[in-house]
Amino acid sequence: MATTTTETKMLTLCTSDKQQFQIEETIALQAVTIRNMVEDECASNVIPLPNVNSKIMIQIIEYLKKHVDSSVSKEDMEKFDSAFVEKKLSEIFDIILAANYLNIKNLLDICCQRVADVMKNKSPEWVRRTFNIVNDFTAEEEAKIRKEHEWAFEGVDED
Amino acid sequence: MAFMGEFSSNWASLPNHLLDSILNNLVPDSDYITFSAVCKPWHCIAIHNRKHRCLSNAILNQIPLLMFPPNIPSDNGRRICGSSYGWFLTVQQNAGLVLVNPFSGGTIQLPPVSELAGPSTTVKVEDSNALLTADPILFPKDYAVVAIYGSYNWKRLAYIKSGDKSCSCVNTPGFDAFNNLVSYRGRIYAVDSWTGMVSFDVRGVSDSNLSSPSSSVKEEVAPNTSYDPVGTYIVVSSAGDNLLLVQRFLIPFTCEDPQFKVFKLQLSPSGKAEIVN
Repeated sequence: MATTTTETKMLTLCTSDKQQFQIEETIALQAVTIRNMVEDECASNVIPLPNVNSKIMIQIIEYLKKHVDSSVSKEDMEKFDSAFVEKKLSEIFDIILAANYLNIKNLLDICCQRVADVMKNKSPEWVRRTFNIVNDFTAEEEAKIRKEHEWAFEGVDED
Repeated sequence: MAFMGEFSSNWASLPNHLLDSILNNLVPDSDYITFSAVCKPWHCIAIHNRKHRCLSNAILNQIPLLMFPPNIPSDNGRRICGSSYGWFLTVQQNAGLVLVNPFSGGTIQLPPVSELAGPSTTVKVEDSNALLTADPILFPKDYAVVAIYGSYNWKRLAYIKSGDKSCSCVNTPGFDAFNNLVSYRGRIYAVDSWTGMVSFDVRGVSDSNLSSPSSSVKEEVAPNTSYDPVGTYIVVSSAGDNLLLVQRFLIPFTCEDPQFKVFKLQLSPSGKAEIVN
């Protein structure tokens, strides 16, 4: 009797806070940066990811696990994605940087979309407050921008 | 520690390509402007992103986004006299042109066209005879309205550049019955009822030379035909790569359908056009 035992190849990822994560290679290879490391055989037993902490890594692994599963329907995947990005902006920020570093394009896309959605129909003041951004325009520069686009600042959502 | 995350993320200094991706997801132009008004780094990203935005707008514009019946009765007698880049150009007798964005509800007030001809003359900008040379959102300092104004067989060209206090006319000796105009690759092309054509670049007009655009080109473009056309139109092909001259003919003493002749115009670097077929 022929038995096919395909051994699941595992990779070990080591985050900035020295936590180790053992995950299946197929899951990890969705991150282009990891795939390049593996293909170039730069990766020894443990792949160091100095730009990602364990808290973010857990979330990214959750995302990658879902997306490697080809049995999930397109609709369910979209549902998963939109639920996935329902996070605090500070977390989205960290995930964007991590997804950028790991080169996971679709994760980056949904996070950027989420940030854009937050800004929709809001005033510059609201965006500054929400994203904790310092207004570094001089009063003159700001007045100039406002004058050029006067019409655009009418009808935004109340702060 | 739990709260630190909220304030440690530095959104202003996110790498440029990431800010770009966020900006590309902001579809309404008013959101694009808000983004550009948040802080200096974001402002720079927005300026650099303009080219991309123009391109994607151009692709979107191939679908006729604005379809409207002529002479929409609107408030206080305003009439729509053209549409470009998602804006309606509206005009009211003896009042200024107003750009109206039907999506955002934004309006931009411009000086009146009628000032040119003096108060006693009837001046009218007819339907589909005004256009914008650039998108006022992406180029707030560098757009212009060009319009054909006048009445019946006296129709001249005028333009208003963004920031201008008044309207200027385009000096076109020998041509005073313009019928139709189009903006193509940075130049304005206008044809008169007798198939003469002028082209000029509004941006090339300096303040000292207000009434005659520096690089205007005038010529007779269409070949003589046995009948005079009843209408001459200049259009850009739907793929955006050709300038076409369309003439409409009615064959006298018959009840036949109108006939059309379409000419493709070949442009030389100076903007001179000639018929190729």
